[in-house]
Amino acid sequence: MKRIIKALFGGLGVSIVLCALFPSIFLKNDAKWTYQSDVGRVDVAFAGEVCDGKINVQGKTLRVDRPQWIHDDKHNQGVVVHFPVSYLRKTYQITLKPWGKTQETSLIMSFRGKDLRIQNQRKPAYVRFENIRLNGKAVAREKTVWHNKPFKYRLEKISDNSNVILSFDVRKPVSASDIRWDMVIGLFVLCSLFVFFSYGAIRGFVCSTIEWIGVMISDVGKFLKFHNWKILISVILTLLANILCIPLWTELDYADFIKTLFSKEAGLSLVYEDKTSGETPFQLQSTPQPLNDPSPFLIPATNPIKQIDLNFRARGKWQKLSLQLKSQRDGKIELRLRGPKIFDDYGCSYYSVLTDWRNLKVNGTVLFDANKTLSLKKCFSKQIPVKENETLHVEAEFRRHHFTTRDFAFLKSGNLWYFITGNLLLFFLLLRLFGAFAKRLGRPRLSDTLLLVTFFCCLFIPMMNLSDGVKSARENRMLAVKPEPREIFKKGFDYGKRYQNYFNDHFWGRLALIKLQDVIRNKLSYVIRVPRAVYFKESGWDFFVPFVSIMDCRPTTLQAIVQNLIQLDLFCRQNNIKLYVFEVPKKESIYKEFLSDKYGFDEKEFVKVSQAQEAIRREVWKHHIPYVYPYEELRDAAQQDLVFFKCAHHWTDWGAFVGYCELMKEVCKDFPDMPVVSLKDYRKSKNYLQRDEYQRNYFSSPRHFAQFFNDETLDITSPRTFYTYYDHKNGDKMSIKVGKFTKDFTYPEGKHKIMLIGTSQNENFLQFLPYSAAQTKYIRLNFGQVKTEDEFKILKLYKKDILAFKPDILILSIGAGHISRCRDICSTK
Amino acid sequence: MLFSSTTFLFLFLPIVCALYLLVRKELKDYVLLLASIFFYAWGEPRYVAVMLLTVILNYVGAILISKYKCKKVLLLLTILGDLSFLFYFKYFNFFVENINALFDGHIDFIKVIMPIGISFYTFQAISYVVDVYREEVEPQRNIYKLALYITLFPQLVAGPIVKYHDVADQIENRTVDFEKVAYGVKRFIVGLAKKVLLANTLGAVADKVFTQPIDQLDCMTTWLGAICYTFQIYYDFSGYSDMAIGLGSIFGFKFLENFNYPYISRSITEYWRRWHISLGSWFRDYMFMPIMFLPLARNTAISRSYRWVMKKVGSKVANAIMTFIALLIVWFSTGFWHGAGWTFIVWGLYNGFFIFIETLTGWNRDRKSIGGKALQHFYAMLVIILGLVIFRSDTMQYAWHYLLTMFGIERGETMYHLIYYVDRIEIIALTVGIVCSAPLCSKMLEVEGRSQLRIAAVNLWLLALFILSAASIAASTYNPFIYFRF
Repeated sequence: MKRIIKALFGGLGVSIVLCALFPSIFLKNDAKWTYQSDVGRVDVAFAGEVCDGKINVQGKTLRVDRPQWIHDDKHNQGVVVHFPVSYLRKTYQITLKPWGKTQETSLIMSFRGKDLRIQNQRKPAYVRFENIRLNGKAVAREKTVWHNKPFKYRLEKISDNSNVILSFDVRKPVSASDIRWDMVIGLFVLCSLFVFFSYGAIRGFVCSTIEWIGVMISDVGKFLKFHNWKILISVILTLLANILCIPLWTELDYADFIKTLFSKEAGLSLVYEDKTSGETPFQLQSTPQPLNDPSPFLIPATNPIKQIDLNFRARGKWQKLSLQLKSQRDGKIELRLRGPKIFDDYGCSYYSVLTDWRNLKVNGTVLFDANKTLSLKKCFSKQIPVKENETLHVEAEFRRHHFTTRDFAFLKSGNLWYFITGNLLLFFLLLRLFGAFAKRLGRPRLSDTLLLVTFFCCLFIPMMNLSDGVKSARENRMLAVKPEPREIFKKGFDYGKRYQNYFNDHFWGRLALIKLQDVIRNKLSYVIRVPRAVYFKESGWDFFVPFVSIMDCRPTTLQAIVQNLIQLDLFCRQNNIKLYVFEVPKKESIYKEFLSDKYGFDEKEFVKVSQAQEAIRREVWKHHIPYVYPYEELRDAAQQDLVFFKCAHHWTDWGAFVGYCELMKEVCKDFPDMPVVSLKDYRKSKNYLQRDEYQRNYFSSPRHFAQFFNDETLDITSPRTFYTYYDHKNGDKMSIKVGKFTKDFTYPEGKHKIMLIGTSQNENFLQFLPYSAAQTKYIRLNFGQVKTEDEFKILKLYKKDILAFKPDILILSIGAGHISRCRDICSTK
Repeated sequence: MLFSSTTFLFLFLPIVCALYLLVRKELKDYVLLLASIFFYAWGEPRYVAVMLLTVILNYVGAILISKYKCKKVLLLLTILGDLSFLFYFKYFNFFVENINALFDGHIDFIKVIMPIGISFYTFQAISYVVDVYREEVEPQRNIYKLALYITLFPQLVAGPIVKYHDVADQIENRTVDFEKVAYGVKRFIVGLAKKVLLANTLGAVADKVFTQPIDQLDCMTTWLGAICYTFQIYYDFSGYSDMAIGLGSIFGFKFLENFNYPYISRSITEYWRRWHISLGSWFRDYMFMPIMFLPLARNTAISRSYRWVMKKVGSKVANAIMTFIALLIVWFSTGFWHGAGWTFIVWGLYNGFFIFIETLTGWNRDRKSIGGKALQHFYAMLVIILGLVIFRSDTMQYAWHYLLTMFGIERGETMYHLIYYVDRIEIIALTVGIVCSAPLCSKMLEVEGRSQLRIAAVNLWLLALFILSAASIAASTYNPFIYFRF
């Protein structure tokens, strides 16, 4: 009987512990537990006809904000009232006093939780409101809300200067009704049975633990006698634990804290609108001199928002910054004060590196004078209108961020004593642990002890801080999501596999280890291979695998490609559209010499594939469909300048221009009035960066080179290559509308309507083609808008767009590597 | 869960080690048992039941064998039960495939994945009941302890096959001391480095070669593939064994060595004394020896037949015939144990054939001259490499053409230059692999009588190896999605 009673109590204890450890299994809505908010809020705003209304708020332990977004068009001020929330029920009474020139109007109150965002996604931080009363009248008995699902109440007809008394109880949301009692009871029964049968073992464990704690406490007085390695290792591990716990007791996470600590830069950005990718529309002078080149990123003209980043050397002392901007045209410049730009390891976002700023003045007007701690994620921005030839004077002071107790969340919310006590306890616990180890393991050898400590530290550290990254730009993919414990028995018992995927993507030190591996690999290899590409260290060229364009040369496949192109042409003819097929040759075929010596480029296979491609072209021509394939022209042009980027599969501006000329030769046969641009119309510039849709390059952050591999330590032995860029002199006249996977161009000097459908090779093509047509619509096929296998189902996906736009010319422009996918063009499945 | 996965290395291992080393002695077995079941369930929870059924079957079987007189029947029933799981999960589809091919039948395959480690733990279970039957050990009355023996995670996935009589005492009573933990950690690091740095690097080369169509391989490439595979399989398997032995040492066990520099062998007989020792000794103890002793039994059909043959042809020839039959059965079983495929069976018989020839001719005797030794070594390596080509090939047809290409009898046209297969890093791995396959650093981990400085240097080197291995494992998690956006 005794054992049963003990088992019941034990089962209760174990089930409570398990419920606390894995609450999501035992709650109906686990979000209520996962994202708990310490703050609740009520948004109060005017509604209806009012002017210059304001609301005053009175109440205890409240924080009142008047954010910009809550103002309506007539400058009425609303308020956001924040108040602390805990597990215990708290009662608030808030007196709202609308005043000013308010007429008889309404107040809208939104009861909601904190605006909690993780990775820029709003999370449901629930708060429970109870007994909501307005002026003594009950409004609602119980409402569980979060930011996106507020409880809204409209208080009608309030008169000027009349007080509104709002009272409510508030607490954190989890209550008995949220618990899945079936699970809890089941667990309790199971745990009781477990305790019943394993009573002896558990008793032994509990006794030994209690004994341990007792010995540990008794050792506190004696610890000074241990003048050996245990103290040293305990101190080191305590410090290590403190460092690991930085994310817990600072408002920054670990990496941000470290980066801020060692930051030597401050930065600001100037954002403006410009429809060219040429020179900046203002002259810039700065004291001190910026560390970087103050020119905008190499963004194509199709993206009108440009940005200049300026980074300055920051010291511990305040430094004065003086900027003079002389604008060459009317417009607006947005000034953003921030911390330095340092990318995180995944290349997706920046570290939140803090910098202190103060005394910001623009043309003598003080924008703020007090010390502001700013970072990229929390920057100060101000849009300033400028006129032609006007000079803008910006003055400010900045310094490296000085950490104070305000930065430490733990010290702020608790106090220093807790911190010291915690550390001391940790130290004694570690000391006791090592004492126990020493007793159990005998007298150790020093170097072996160090080996063991280092080895086990290395094993423990990666699990200490699993990253919460969602995506990896460097890998160009979403990171695996953590599987919920409740899914253990779901989805084909693959929990372990899914957790392994999650752990693989998130364990601490992953990227540092990958970097180390890459450094070694790159140093040791002649050729760097990844599944889809090879990179030749000596020459700096990389090529896509497979080197040939189409792998499937069976007659049925070739016939299917031709049939689809003929059907597309038929559709175009029915709608009075002229179709041109444009095939961009593969980089590997243009520069095959760089492959053949080094890497077994199979000439026979190349000839076979070329013949297959030729057969397709011949068949298409037979049906009077113009098919442009500028292979020879590009081979010739490659003698003058690079027609493809060395480390990407896209062609350069020069390559795209050669292709454009060949295409226009065909187009002008049918549309002789079509203007053709020449290079005289273009401004030339040189840059080592690669212009394409990702701003991808190997030499500066962000490193988005997803095509290639995981490394920023490329051991480049060849000198840096500079590419020639062409920007049209009349870029300002071009109007561009950028959609998700479409771009619409309107150019007054062009003629006819062109629709360009194709793959990423067209991004550089767009430097030329839109200047020939009055309207150009570009549809990018492979932009992730549909599944990969459906991308080329053009008629199914874009028929409506084609008919709506009614182009005179439809250009189907695809890379040679995608030619075999043309068999899907008319597929309706 | 693999030893060279991040979840094992950075999650499972540290937690289990910490728990194991910290809990009281009475609880250590339970911690280890739970950890082993969790380890197994992590990858394929469905098959935990199969493993636990094996435990129960052998627990009950052994107790009944020790209690009742019809020991033989009970032993046979227990072994049959053990083998039935193995047959169902590993060999059923192989038999169906061959029956269908032979009789043009249409028997459906069963959709089943082979539970990880089933070959290893089944053999361990058989070793237990046979030891009880032979009265070499007492039957284990505590089912948890028997479960611990069968499911012990360090040797669960890839051996070594620990025989019950070797660890029976350790299961009951073992100690964990600093020396054992330190040695275990060092051995584990060595094994990890073997697996990750050498086997995986050489394996990539071998995979590239063996996945090419045979008409696209030339003589040089086939030799390269075969040599790389020879070293890959050694470092892969011996690396796992090292890790298992190391983990065993951390937990207080002392497992027997599984490899003893097999590539320095000068005959196939010697090779099998050095290669996968636990499997070889298992077959010797539980299959070869019982077959060889069959003629000595009283009044059985086999003993009568043996005596008749002996009268007709003499005892020497009769012995040779008996040895031949025993070797045939053992090596057929050895090949079949490695995998349900004809390539494995042929590989097993191929090894048995050379061992039989060596036994008959006395080729496996030691030579004194250097030239003789070199010739013996050359012969042994050649036979090993050619045998492993059969082992690695998917079909016998592929293996045959591959062997013909190796000797220049058939010629394919290679698509790629040699640099496609081996870069500097692979050449380094192969060189290190060849050097380390000889016992040059065999005493690296010994600490007795060594200076502190030397031990510290070895430890530093081991730490560097561990970090390099961890980097390599981490890099394997790098999985860029090419070209497309998120």
